Amino acid sequence: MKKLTLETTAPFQGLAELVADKEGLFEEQGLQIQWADREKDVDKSVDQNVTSHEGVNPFASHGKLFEQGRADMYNACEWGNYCRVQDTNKGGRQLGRRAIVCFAGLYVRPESDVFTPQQLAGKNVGAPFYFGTHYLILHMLEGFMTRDQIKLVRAPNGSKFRYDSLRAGEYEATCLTEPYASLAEKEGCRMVTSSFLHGTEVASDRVDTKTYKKFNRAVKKAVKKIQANRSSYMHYFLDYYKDKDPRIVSMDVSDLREARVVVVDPAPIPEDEAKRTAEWIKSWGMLAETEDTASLINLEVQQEAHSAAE
Amino acid sequence: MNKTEFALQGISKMKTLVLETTAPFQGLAELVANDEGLFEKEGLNIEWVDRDKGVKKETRTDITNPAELDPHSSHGKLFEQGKADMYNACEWGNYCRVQDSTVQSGRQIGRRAIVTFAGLVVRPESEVYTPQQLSGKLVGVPFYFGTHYLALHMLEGFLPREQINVCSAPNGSRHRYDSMMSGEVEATTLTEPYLTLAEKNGCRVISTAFYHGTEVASDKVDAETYAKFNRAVREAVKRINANKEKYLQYFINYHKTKDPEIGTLKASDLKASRIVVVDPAPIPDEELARTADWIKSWGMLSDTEDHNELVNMEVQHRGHAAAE
Repeated sequence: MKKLTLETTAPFQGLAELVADKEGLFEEQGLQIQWADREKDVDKSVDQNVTSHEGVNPFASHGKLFEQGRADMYNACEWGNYCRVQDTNKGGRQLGRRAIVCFAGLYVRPESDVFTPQQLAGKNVGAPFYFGTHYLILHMLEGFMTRDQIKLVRAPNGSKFRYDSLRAGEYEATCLTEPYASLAEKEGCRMVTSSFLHGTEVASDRVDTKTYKKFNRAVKKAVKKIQANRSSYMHYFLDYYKDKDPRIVSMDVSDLREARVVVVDPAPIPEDEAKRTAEWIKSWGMLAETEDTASLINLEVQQEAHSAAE
Repeated sequence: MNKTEFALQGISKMKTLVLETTAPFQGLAELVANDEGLFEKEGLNIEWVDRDKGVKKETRTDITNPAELDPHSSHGKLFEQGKADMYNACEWGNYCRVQDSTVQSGRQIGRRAIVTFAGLVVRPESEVYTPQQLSGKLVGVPFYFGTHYLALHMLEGFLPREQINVCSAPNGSRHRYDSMMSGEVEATTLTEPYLTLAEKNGCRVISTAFYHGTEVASDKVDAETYAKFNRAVREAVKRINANKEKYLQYFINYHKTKDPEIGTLKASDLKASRIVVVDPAPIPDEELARTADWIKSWGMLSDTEDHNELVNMEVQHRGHAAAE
């Protein structure tokens, strides 16, 4: 068995990997997975004075243990991973897209005067800089207002914390993933806009083509199982938080929407999409030190491992 | 005075208002007010005229610009012919309709009650999972209707404008849904109950948002009449907000005779959180200015120098203040 140490992942960003792990699909492929807790000691406060990514550490949670040499691979949103790979000290490269296409929505309190995205012009929106929902907020809002009207403040990663800060009035809106999107709706909050986002895997050279191929085979099998019976996997979104949040314990799987759970076979990042994504990130003042987008990806492992896993 | 004479006297005091027809996704509160006698209580007798009769329901992949089409093809059609006193439609489209109106007094007089939910949808087998992946792909939108503008807003957050590729699709979610499912277009916009139907049938809703609509009226709708109308609508809003589940049935009942597939949906298939109704209110000045600027940036509304001219400020102000 080859041992692979992965940073911990939540269902909204790693459902297929969690299913593969629980159902012995990695073992079937000769992989033994160890999970390393990337969330220990992560700052969960809101900081109204931090209004952009500048000065924020892209490795605050995702990639933290990887950069310390204590994990071989992690998955996170694609945008954030472009930035993390640019700044890596461990030779980390993206190997391809993860299985889940993550749902997230921008929410306001029940009593908010905001009903449409346009009405967030000039209002504080809590964003976890370098995490998927930060970039998604930018994408979603810039369709409805000019960039100078978008006002972000630093919010923690983890929807639970952002939701609590939203309810406490620390900002006007924030972006939530499941099961907190559903919890927010259950408690009367309003979603003003929503979308889906891709994530990728970043790995060290310990994850060679052969290993990643095995990993992908297991994940593909999990994807197949989830797609065949999505309802039987919805409980993952609740179980994951059962010791952490009584509000989630009080929810039932019928409170969640299956249509929000989208999993696909892991796949290479299409070249044209990689280029467009990098250009857009640069337009927001990130990724300035990257001249060649292709350098952010281990193209050899990506190409060979995905084709071999088919 | 006997009962009949009393009733006749009551009717004679009623003011008749002719409205263009509206569906629940855009006019739930007005439909509830009508069904529950709230307009009558305010002394208003509502007559509905069918704006969708004779409207062409075809997708035209060769029409990629709204300039080729009539903004009054459905909303505002009967109003422009003098056959309706008022209509409600999306705010963006109404700016354009008011600009091009031949009814001299035709102006917006405020925002309607429902804040409409809509989404951008792809077939189950589509390779598109995120809005970015619609780059260059054909998206069917009903030009001048709310989801046309919403699609532009949603897509331009994810794509440069030159990568947004829209074509004309009919108003009415059923027709756009069919067009998307048949592969005529890669994606389209849908409202309820068709969003729910699409999800039930395995389609993916890759982006969603809410949008406002407004009312456009002729001078037959003075401040006093509009205040009465608004009072009735506000009471409907109160009732809907107190028991949203009860009113979800409207979204099924409205369509089920014309569309048996909608008849297979249950109210519990629909999400109450997608139904947002608020008291009708004036269009805020700064939102009016920003909205007009954005519409102009897409090459529409070019004959309007002063966006304030698109609103009857007096009726808007007095009609809402008096309804409070």
